Amino acid sequence: MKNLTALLILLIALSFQVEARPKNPLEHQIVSVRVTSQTWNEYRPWQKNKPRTRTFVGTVISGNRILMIADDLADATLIQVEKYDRPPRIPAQIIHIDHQIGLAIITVDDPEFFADLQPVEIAEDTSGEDYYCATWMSGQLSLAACRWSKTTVFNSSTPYFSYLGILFISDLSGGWGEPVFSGDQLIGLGISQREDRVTVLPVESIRAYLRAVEMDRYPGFAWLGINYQFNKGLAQSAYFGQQGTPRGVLVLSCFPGSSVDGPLQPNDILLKLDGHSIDSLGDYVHPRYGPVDLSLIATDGHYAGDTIDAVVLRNKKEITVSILLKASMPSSVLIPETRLDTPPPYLVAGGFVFRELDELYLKAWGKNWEENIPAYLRTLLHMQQEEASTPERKHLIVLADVFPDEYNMGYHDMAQNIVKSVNGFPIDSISKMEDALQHPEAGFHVIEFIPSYGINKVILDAEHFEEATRSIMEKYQIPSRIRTSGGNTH
Amino acid sequence: MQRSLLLGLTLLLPLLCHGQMNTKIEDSVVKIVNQYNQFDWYNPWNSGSTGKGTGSGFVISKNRIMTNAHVVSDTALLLVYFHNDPQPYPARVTAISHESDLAILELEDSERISRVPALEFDDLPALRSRVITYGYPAGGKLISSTVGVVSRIETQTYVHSGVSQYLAVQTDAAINPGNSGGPVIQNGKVVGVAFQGNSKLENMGFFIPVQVLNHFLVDLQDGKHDGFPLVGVLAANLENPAARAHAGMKKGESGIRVENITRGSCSEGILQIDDIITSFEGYPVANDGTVEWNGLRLRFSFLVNLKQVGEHVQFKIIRGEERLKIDLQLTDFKPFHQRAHLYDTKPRFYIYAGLVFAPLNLEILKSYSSRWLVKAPQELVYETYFRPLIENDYFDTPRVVQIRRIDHEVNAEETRYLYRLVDTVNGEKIATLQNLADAFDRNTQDQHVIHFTHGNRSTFLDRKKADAAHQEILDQYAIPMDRRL
Repeated sequence: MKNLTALLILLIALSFQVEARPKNPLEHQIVSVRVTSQTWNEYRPWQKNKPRTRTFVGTVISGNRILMIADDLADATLIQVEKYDRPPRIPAQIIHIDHQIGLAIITVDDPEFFADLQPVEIAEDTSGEDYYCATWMSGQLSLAACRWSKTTVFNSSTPYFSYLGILFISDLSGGWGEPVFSGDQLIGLGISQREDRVTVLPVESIRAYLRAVEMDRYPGFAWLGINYQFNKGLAQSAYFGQQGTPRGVLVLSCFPGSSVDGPLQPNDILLKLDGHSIDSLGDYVHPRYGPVDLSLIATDGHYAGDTIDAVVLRNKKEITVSILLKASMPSSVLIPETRLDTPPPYLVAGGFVFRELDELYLKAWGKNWEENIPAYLRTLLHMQQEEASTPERKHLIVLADVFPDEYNMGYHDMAQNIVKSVNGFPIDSISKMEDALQHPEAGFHVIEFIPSYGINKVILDAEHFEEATRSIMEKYQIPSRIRTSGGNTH
Repeated sequence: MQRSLLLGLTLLLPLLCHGQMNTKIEDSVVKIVNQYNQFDWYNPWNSGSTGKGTGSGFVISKNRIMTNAHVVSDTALLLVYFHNDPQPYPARVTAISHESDLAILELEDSERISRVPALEFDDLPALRSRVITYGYPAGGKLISSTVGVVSRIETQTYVHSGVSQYLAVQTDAAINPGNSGGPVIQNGKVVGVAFQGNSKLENMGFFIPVQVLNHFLVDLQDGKHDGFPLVGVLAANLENPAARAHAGMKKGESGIRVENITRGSCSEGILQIDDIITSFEGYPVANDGTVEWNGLRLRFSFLVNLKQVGEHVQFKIIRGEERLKIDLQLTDFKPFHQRAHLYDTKPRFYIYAGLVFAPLNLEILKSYSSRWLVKAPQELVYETYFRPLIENDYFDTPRVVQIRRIDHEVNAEETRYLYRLVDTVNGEKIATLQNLADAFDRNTQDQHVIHFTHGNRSTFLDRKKADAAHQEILDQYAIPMDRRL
């Protein structure tokens, strides 16, 4: 009897507890995603930095899927999801990721996980009122009001690709993928936060991404690759044969291999793109968001593979050209901004550590990396921004470090020089370098650098090269000698 | 007791001797007050900023005072004060070497200086020997002297012009602002001129040794200042045995490998890339690029700096299998003036319809930001430091930069590019401000097109409207002149 009373009291208490917590359907629509990630050590490219673990927000969508911000999953070594921000944590896998548009989908193996979860309702567009965002905080669903501030164009982690974002003012502390709602419909995902301003990826991009994922073959998103200057001045527009108020923009260059490379030409005035008039500041009028940069036309209802028309003023005559939209590869740039989950290719040779130069390497100089990197690398970085890699020169190989040894005496202070050739072969990749080292010149390896500072030409004894490499690797505990761009080490 | 008295006496004796000499030396050390006027490269048509600086100097002959170039740079009025004499004596600069930071002054009233003994020069002081600096630190009215030891002798960057390294002596005798230009004395004779400090070193100052002072004075004997000659070679050390073997060097041979020959230098056409320089003027060159000179290990460029423009020097080199002797006549080629701080120079510029152009030089880079190296458009840094090395072009290739636009309706809506190198104007290649002025003058098309070197960028102006607005802009913005080419 006594036991029965106790059980009753317990049951009542439990039911009160459930009652006390206001039911919100959102509890079944968002999950916590704990991501352990580990970046590569850019100086010692065979090893990784200290792992770190952060918790993001995932939004449940149809088909037992969880929608996330792609950047939050970068370099992930372990992904775990939790419902209601409570254990157990269930391991999850990425099923699709697109760093360009910045979205990813994860799932868990056990379909039962989704049994008590509900997909969110996805709005058609961002229109609405009383916007709010949601996240989990210590087991509590936390909601915060969001006030629409303005639309903005921001850069993706993929070079040159930019997309539309909406800035909301909110007292939420996040920017970790929180869904933003109007009523009970999802209108965007919080991508980043600075003070009280949350940048939100609007639902139009989310819908476009989800549609693309459903297709037989994922088409990817395109970028134009156009570099232009304003056309506000009457003298400039008259020079190109325009009468009256200047319109359109002056094409300065087309990024090699990009969508506009070929169809558009330097010194064209781009007047219309995909039916949208381009104003003299390079904006077109988005039906919902007003004037935004013309680069967004490539993703406004389009995927890579689509064709759009452009009207240009070329040699003082208006002509129409068609542009086949192409997706970009981050590696198409001479100094890529990112590698997207791939480790840096490198080669250890005679104690010299060579690697492909990218921005991640330069960022290893710390917070003020752009100011602290060697002057020559800074000039290269800035001046290559209008240059793509070419068949002749895909990438730059930098001497990242020299592990001192008697074998490489006299060359210990040469780090940060850029390789020009090895044994007479021009060098633009680690694999070419490896090949060139198979062909010593009369018993010597001759490594030439682009003149910047220090010695231009390193000469090593080829006979003892392999033995020196081996012993230096052992001395400094370097586990593998080479990683080519395929990612294999040995 | 006797012994310690004797010791006391021996200690006193040198001090007394010094005491006697000091009166003579102090008489010969002067305070220099420089009322300067520094022009502004960003507002090149404006009066400069004026101010007063003080330094020291010393009498070296009947009417000549030696001091640092930086003490008397950009001068509008120079006044010299003698020890214990309140009377200012106006002076003028008769010779100045910004690269070696030295200058010679003469007084308008030569009678006063003739009453003062000229200081004699000695040689390079020994390491660890004692030296005394004389001068007017912090502009004080009375002379000050401090004692220190010679702690290091090596080549240093002379920061006044900032481009070259010459021999300098480091001492712990206090060298403070105002000391600059004052003599450093040993045994009553000049062993150097105090000139700069180093914020990274505590209580360390540097002085210019007599080798550099003498070079300057000998240079001036023909009535003109040529400065230090330049061999014009960048060479790699050969500390790695493989590098020496590759060069075909035999056991016992040492040297450095020529990697770059500066366009326009006296070495062009005589030395070749990959030549191994094994000796210079009879001094063997070590694998680290040093030579032994009077017991000191110094960069081999030090030996070049002992030479005058026009002199011949002998190299021994290895070229392929051959051992050759090379004779080189040193010239006054100065490829790096674009990279030097400029003084005593009125800024050059050209304005057309509100667009302001200037030659590319260090002063223009500094007008962008004190942190121009990281902040300015990097094509300017590339042009100044790297492109001539990579493309083997002249380091002093003249270049023109658009630095400003003075807004007027004729230009305000046109695309603006600042601190960018001008490539062509109206299709004409631009290297100098004169080219630029000519290209604008000669144009008969409806528009002027200013095309920049990077990124296919251009600015356009309506020619007739620009011509009409030109004077109006100058008047409106109180710009008294449109050019100093």
